[in-house]
Amino acid sequence: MIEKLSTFLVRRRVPLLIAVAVVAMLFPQVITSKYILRIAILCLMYCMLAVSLNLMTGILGQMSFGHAAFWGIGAYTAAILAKTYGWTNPGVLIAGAVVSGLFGLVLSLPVMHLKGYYFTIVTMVFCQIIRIVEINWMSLTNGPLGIMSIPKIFIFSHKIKSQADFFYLALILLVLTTLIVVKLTNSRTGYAILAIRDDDLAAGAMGINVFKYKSMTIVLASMLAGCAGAFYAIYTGYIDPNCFTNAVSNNMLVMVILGGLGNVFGSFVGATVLTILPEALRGFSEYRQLVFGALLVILMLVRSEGLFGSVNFKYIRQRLTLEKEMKATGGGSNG
Amino acid sequence: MPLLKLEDVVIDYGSIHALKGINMELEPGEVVTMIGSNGAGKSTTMKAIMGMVKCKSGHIWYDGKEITNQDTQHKVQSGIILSPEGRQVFPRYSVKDNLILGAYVRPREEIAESLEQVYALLPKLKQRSNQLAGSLSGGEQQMLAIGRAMMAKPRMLLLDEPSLGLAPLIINEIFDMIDQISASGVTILLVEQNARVALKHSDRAYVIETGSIVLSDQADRLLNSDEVRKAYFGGL
Repeated sequence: MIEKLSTFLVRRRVPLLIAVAVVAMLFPQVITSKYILRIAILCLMYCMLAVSLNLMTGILGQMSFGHAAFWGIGAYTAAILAKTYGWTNPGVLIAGAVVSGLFGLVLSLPVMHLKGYYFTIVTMVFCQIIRIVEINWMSLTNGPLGIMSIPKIFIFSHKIKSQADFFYLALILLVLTTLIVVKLTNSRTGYAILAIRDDDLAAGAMGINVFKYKSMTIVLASMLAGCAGAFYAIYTGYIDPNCFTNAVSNNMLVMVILGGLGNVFGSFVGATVLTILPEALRGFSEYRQLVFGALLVILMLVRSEGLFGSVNFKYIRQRLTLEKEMKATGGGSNG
Repeated sequence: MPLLKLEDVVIDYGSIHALKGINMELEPGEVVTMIGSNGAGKSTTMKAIMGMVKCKSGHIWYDGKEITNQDTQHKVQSGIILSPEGRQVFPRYSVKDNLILGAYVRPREEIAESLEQVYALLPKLKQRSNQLAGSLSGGEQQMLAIGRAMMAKPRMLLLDEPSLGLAPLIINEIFDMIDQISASGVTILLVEQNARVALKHSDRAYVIETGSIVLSDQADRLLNSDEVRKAYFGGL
């Protein structure tokens, strides 16, 4: 079923993209419920986080249980710059990304020769350390009280304050993130990164600089997460260390795995489902988590590689083009 | 002048002495085999040549220049290519993409031409160009691994156990291919458990035991030597 759906998505990609773009543009105009808009905005942000984590975990193949740390670093950077230093421009988003990227670089250097479980444990501990720093560095982060009433930012002297504004901002950030990751994976560099994921020894034997590409990818993934964090800080206007726990990291990882490791579209689906589902299940009140958990277990049993983990849109596209060519040139010889 | 020369190469893995001073010379165009039991140091020698493990002491010369402990990337660029043990193709890539990856260090304009050359060498791969590498048979995957190495335009090709886990008939096909590659002027260093077949297709051979070279001679003479027969052909 997923294969059919994927083929359909690839075949009708142009009209589908236009439709999605139109819906996305009109969405905040038509929907006025603040509650729904808020969920939609969080959906977009989680998509961004899932795509960036997918870059690290699905595409580079380094399982990370600490992605919330980068998200948090971005958020704190933006909050501190906006609140303490009075930055009210999109620069906070860039600063969030840059600072988070620096932490990514610092993390990537010592763990470069670690693989698999060892890398995972380091990311887990990294998330803890960052949280402990956030809690204890009172003078910078205001500790467990968090940073309140973070000022909103201006873009071209337009104050970003309504839900619709934030929706569009999140949308733009998500589109940029997706473009970056998709362009990267389809480039020569992306091929090198994917080769490292599948077999770093063979990749090295072909002259790919494993060290360089690994740390570059980790830095990029942490930058994208940092940017999402900065967005989160200015959107909610309040952050505290409890927003960025390991539980949140795990949740992001579940989004990526549910959608399928290595598949960007899958990350959208995973992030959207896992943001909307808990809200949709609110009717079940205390059974919510139970139903949620059961759904995940069933999915993993039925499709352990995640929804789109085994789908390669590029190859589907190649196949469709080949089929078209065959039909065009005399056709029917092979049915 | 030898194309590749190893001089007293010593490699330690912690306290384990993997190579205890290896000396080796390969003339341009030769096919040379390294035979030896498991753990003798054959793959380590390959890795040392590629710069994937650091030499503790000793020198490696390639084409008259010292390349000891130079990084792998530079070695690949200068034409030393390793096809690693256990095939290690990228299973989720198509055959064509696997081959293109092999040409990673080369200018993009030359890739199409090399692709045609490799397809000419391996017509079977051309038919399966768009198939995922993981869906190929073991023999085809090995051919793909060698084809991928050829995409980098090697002058010095290192093949680590190309016959591993393959049926005898397929092994013959692989070695026919190695003969063809050799005929095109590529120098080949081969590591093989399957000593008999490897020696038949080689010019010379080194016998390596627990990190040292114990014997080196013309391949046909080793093939007939009682010592080697007893140790590596199961006493036949």
